[in-house]
Amino acid sequence: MHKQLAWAIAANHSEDFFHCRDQVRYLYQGSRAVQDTNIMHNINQVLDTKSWQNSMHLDQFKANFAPWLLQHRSNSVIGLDQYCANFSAGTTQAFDSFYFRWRERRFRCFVGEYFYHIKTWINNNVDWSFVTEQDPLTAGDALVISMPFCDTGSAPADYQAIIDQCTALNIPVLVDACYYVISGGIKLDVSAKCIDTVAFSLSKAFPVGNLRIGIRYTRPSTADGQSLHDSINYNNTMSAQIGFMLIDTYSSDYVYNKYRQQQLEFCNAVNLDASNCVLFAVGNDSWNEYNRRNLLQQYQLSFDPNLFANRISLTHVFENWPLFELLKNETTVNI
Amino acid sequence: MKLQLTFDRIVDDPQCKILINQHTLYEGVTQSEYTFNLAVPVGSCRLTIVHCDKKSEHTIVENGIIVRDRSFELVKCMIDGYDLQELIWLSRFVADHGEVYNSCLFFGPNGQFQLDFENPVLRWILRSRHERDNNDPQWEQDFEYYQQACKLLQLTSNK
Repeated sequence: MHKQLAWAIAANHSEDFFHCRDQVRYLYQGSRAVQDTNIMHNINQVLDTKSWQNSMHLDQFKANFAPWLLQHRSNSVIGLDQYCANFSAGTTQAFDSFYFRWRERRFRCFVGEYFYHIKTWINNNVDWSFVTEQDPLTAGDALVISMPFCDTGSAPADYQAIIDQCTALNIPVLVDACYYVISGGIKLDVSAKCIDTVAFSLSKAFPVGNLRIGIRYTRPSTADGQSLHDSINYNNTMSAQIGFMLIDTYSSDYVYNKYRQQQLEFCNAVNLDASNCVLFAVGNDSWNEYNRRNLLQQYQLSFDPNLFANRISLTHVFENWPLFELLKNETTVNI
Repeated sequence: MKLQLTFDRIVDDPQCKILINQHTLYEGVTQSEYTFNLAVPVGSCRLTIVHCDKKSEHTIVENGIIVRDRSFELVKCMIDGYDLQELIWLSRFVADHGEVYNSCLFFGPNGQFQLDFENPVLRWILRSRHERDNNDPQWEQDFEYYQQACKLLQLTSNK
């Protein structure tokens, strides 16, 4: 049914077979936020106020972000009060700052981590490698780990053990929590001393990816370009204004609550394992055509796609839910 | 079926006749663009473009060289929105004098251009390309998915 749905979604956007086929190939991939028309309307209303230049938006957004996170009724985050908040151009700016701060170290991540890290390290001749049984974490490393994990959209079972190991080995860790607010059942403990940075973003929850709205949490002792710009309000006030409107209007579990039942229903219908992250599911070998092959090509990375989970994006499904329901009801009818 | 034809390098008002199967769609002086909407049964089809009424005086020769010649050229053929692109070369031109020129889009002598295809054309396009290039083993399955998607969307628009 998922294939039929993909074609119906594609054909709903374009009558041309070849355009449809291109869209179908990528339809269950990526990690884009759902284009919610109500949210888009509210964003446009903020822009209509023409008040984006006020630096107060940055303070409002930063000050209210942690309380907003803590209101999530399915997740919990512990230890964030040990950190200082900086505005961040998505999580990406926090990544770049972390790379620079720990540039003398060997960077590490697990197989399935966000390709941005790997591409950046490779292209800049940075010392790095995947964490594996043969090549475990060692003193002198710096670790990037996503929680929930990028490859599956769920919490890695050994997250705490990894963090404990990093504490023991004095390995600085960046926790990429960009999927946190669109997930449920996540217990994120960032109190361990090894954790250097915790990065959040609104890009996965709301259709604002291009606005680069994020918050980076670092230890009070951290002094870098990002904290300097933050201290003098030299950041994107328009993004902060929209970011503040979003967290002021929508609860941090809004997206999770809105789509969780749809995620479970779709996964049940097409035999997928629902992730903690509501935008994702994981497919077995029958979903191999939606593996990371396309993304690897896009990033010009030459890893075997079979190393990665078949992470299925449900964004298009949610955006075209009436089509799924129709298809579900029509499966017994000869269409 | 929607048929769109584009001609270029039209010299000295050549006469043509355009047919799908035995049904004449146009007859007269060749124009640069045509669009026809017509009902065509599912199955084998033939597009025929006849070049006619050209006489010897329509070819001007000086010192053994043709300096002007009534003629035209087919440059584009779209059926149901799909540009046939390279598949147009599956055609042939059967000249009245008996010669047959495969893959000829130039209308010089009197005769007829023939392109055999199938309705629906998309299925024919996919199959023809795969038969030639052997690089689209999923074409039939994709075509069926597409057909079903169109039917499903038709259902939604009827509700």
